[in-house]
Amino acid sequence: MPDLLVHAAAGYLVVFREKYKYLIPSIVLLGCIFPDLIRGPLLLGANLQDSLGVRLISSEAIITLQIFHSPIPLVLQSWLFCFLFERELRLRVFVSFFLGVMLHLLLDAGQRAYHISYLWLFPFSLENPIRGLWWSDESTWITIIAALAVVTLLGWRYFKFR
Amino acid sequence: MSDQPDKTRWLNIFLAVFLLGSMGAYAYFKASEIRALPYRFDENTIASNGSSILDTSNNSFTVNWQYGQPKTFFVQSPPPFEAGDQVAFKLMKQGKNVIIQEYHVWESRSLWYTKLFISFVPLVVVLMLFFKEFRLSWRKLIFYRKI
Repeated sequence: MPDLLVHAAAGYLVVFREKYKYLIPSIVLLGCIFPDLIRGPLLLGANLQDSLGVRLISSEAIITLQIFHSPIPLVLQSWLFCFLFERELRLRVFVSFFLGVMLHLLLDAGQRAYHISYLWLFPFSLENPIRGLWWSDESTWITIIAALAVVTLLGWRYFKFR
Repeated sequence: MSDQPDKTRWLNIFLAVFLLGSMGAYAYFKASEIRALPYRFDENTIASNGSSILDTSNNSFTVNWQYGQPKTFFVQSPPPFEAGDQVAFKLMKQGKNVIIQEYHVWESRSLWYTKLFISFVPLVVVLMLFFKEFRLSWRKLIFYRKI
């Protein structure tokens, strides 16, 4: 999993120069980090369990929560999310949020795994059809590039609109 | 227009929650099958996304396998990792031995915790941007755009 900085930076690159002003930038960015808002604390809990040698959450519960990071459950979550907004905004919210989620999944697909990773085809299959390109602990260079890109764009905006 | 009754809203919310709940329940009942996937042997290959190396010798290495049991693989040359490493590997079966096709030694968890720490910055920024633009009506459970 690339960190949230990379995910948010990818979203910022999309909304930075969107011509049609159809997308809602804050919602695209929220969509970019949303899938990890469940998975992140879950991984943290699992790592702490391993480190401390205690069992706070059952493995069944971990797997149950993990599926919320899969594409089809994420479509449903985007659908649910858009109904938390005014009727006039719903379609724009859905498109913006789902675009962010898709960007997130695209970056996560770069992560290597031999077996299960994100249960990409759940609930239709448990197989992992995506091999990925890098191991998740090798992605520090992506974080650095993302941070540099965001700083450059924010600097450019600051000097342009000053 | 936004004050008109919105009959389908709650129907859609309940339907989405029901479907997500059903998927969660399905995953819960499939948990043992999902958990066993990493230990499934293909015809010619054995792979692991990350196993603790318990012991190594010139012609074998032992890993922590399913249910915490040790499993020893016999190789033709000394394995390129040490006891205590967390290793992802792909092995090809060759008779009773295996050939290490690919491997990756995972870095320590401190890097992961550093990334987690860095992740708080974009999380806070994104939530600030969102709540700068929208406000939640608790009574109606709906986000309104601030004008």
